[in-house]
Amino acid sequence: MREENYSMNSLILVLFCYVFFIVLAAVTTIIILNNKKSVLNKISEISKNQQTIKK
Amino acid sequence: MIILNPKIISDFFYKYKKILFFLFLTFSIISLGMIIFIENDYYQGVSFKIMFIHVPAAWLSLMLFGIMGTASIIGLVFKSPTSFIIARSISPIGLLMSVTVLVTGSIWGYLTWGAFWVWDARLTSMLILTFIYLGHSILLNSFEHFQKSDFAASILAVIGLVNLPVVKFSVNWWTTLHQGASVFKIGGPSLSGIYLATLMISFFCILCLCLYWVITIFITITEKRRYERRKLFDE
Repeated sequence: MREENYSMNSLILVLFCYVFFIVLAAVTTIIILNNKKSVLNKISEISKNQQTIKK
Repeated sequence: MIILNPKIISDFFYKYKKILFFLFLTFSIISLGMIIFIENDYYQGVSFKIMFIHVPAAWLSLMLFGIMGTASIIGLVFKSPTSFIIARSISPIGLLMSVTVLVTGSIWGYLTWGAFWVWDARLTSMLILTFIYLGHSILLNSFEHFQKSDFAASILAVIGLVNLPVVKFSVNWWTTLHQGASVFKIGGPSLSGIYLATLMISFFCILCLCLYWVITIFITITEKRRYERRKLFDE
């Protein structure tokens, strides 16, 4: 009974490690891609504005 | 010198970004399959499967710090903007890897030693490495002008390089609760074939993901700086 509890506990903690890493990786990817998108959007917006002013 | 231009390197990396993400997806499917179906360890049971995240993350946090420190030295000596951008791109990813090592390591420690944390030489030196990464990331965002922050953070990265051999050889220099090296050691790896294969595939999976992140951050910083310079020039 004690051994069964220990293996169940181990399995939960191992799963927690994998879920932790997957969530961390997903959140990081979203933040990095969002940041890149916002920088590129800002640049293209300002470039467009500058072109309009020149015209 | 033209090869050191951040824009040229950014364009070069851009082509391989998608390939890296595709490789990451492929390796992750293979490694997850292998991790699920691989047999449990006789002594440690299922808890040994934490190794397939913990060990690649540990290798990567050390490797990334080595590259960051080298890039910082090149940046300080040659005043190369590309090197500073490389160091800046690596810093958050290295921090992420070292936090992963500490979290997964303490869970593994709890399951095998019965304690989440012990002031063991390997664990303590890894904690110091995490703090150096954290300090580097804070310094990068502490100054108004990026050149000042790059300079300050690079000095910390160069000093932090001293900690790398301490982390790597702590298990040989001191008597530690943490086990010794089982892959990169004299006499070859002590892991059996299937475990070693799973570990290497997991490592390449996380390596591809880290490279993808670093390249994306590198491209973002390069574009942002180009834009800021153009804005300054227009004014």
